Amino acid sequence: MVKAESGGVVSSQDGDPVTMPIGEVARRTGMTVPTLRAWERRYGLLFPVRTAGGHRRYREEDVRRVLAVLELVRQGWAVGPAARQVAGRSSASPAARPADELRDRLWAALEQALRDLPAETEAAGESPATGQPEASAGALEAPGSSGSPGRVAAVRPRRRTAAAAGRQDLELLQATHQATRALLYITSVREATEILVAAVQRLGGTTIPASQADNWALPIDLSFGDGEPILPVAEPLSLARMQLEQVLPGLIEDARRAVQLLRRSEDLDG
Amino acid sequence: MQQPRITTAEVERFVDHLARRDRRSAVRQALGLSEAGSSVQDLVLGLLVPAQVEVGRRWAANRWSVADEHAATAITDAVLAAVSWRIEAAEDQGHVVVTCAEGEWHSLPARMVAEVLRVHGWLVTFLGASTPANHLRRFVDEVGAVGVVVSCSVPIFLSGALRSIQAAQAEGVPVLVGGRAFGPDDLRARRLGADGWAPDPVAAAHLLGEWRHQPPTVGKQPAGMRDAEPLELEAAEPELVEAAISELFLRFPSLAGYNETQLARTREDVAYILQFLEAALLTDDSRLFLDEFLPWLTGVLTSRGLPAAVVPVGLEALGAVLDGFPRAQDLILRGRQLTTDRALDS
Repeated sequence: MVKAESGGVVSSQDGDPVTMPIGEVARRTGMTVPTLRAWERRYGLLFPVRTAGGHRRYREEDVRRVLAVLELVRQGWAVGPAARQVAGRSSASPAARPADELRDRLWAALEQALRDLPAETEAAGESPATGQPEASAGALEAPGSSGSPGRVAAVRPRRRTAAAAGRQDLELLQATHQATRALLYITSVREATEILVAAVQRLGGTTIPASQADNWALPIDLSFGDGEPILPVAEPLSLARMQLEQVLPGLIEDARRAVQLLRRSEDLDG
Repeated sequence: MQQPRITTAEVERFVDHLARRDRRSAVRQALGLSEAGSSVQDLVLGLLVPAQVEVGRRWAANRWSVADEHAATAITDAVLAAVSWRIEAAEDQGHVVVTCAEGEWHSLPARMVAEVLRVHGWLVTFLGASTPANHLRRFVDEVGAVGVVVSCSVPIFLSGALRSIQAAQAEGVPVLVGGRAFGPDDLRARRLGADGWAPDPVAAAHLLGEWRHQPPTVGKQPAGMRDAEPLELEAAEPELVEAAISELFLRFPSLAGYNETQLARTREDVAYILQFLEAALLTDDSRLFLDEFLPWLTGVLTSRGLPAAVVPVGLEALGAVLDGFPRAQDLILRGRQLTTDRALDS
């Protein structure tokens, strides 16, 4: 496939000489122009050529790529992975499901990071400065891994290395996934609160009754009006705080939804 | 559309349920009003909003604890969920994303906006409290929304709101902002580069309707920060707090008798004043600091047994360490004059 460089001129050697403005691509794919621009910028999905006047023009190939992304999305992919897949940046097989693809990418990143790790960070016995509980290393022994857990166990990075970052991402993903799944099975509001409290602890935070709250507490109640209000706590600028700020808003919304459905069914029952 | 107005007596009864932490009675009252003909929009604007205003007032007046406030808010939230089941709208207006500003954890006001927008026929995705700006950016990129609504209640999170606004605009989606932090008019919204501002959820629904037919030029008035002073102030915050505490020791020898907890609280209070100062500089709106924050702070402190004069003295200590921050110093000076006058009046 011949790719026209950005800023180049329209070439008849492409074998795809017909060009169109972005509005035409939008019309043919059913997408909005801003979304197409975003896909072009972010994922390198479109390869515009420039007219002599400097205007961007697109070709059949661009339309096909957008349609291919939409087809993957229809099959259950998230937009990001689908666009990267079509843009040719991902090594996952086209048949891979989103969860597999995400896991593969995480492992690839993790393995690469471990290879890049300087030798002096393997000083044994030193606790990670990340403040991450050692339990999170267990995530690295998950089934289906193609990594080398033995090597991983020996690594004690002094500072937040790429490997540690990859491990934290995986830990975050697993903590939220486990909590979200558990929320699907609650039979009382109290259970939803317990799931959130456990998730907060797993991410390195603690919880405190609102009556004892200080300014380290996040002003968000995990009890949903059932019993004493409980707030998550984490030291400002700590890793735990960063992690909580990343995943807790979404997790609490999911829990709130589960609680609403539970109360709704209780109301309908009588 | 003839509907019975929700009376103040109904609001008082509702607040009584909140005070007793009686969720079932609160839900029953709201559903009863709904049966009697009140719309979801009436219930939100005529019952839940006034009740939450009263909750805030009772906390500020030291009648309710933080725990009471959270418990009441959770019940109002549950009532909102219960009445929301009754919304039967077409959702044919288009897709809109509602979120809290980055850092803003008070999600009930945004949730109320989300439900009123649903009443007006919008398909609403509510992202919840304090959505990180990078999450917001990724999300709006994927859904193709008509607009993003960013809610902010506490002005110290306006810098987070700025990040949220810019994240959505980077994806070419226009941003409408609202919430108490934005104040009584569109000045702060404009200064932060938002594409629109709404004083209430109904106005938000109308503006989004206009955008649906005539999308605005996104980011037409980009955030125009006057200078870097608010950012520098934010960066220097830890040292400034420590320096201001030392100044306070000079002015209040009794501080030497404070225990660790009391000192930590004092540090937090000083940091809080600084953060409001930053917000006022960020939006170049002195009203935020002088007319909104200082009277509120004075009320909170005096209702907890401190003399009103503690505010101008605290400001004096802070002003003494703000060399190199001319706009902040100017605001502190004006604040000292105002609060001194008010302390003398009281």
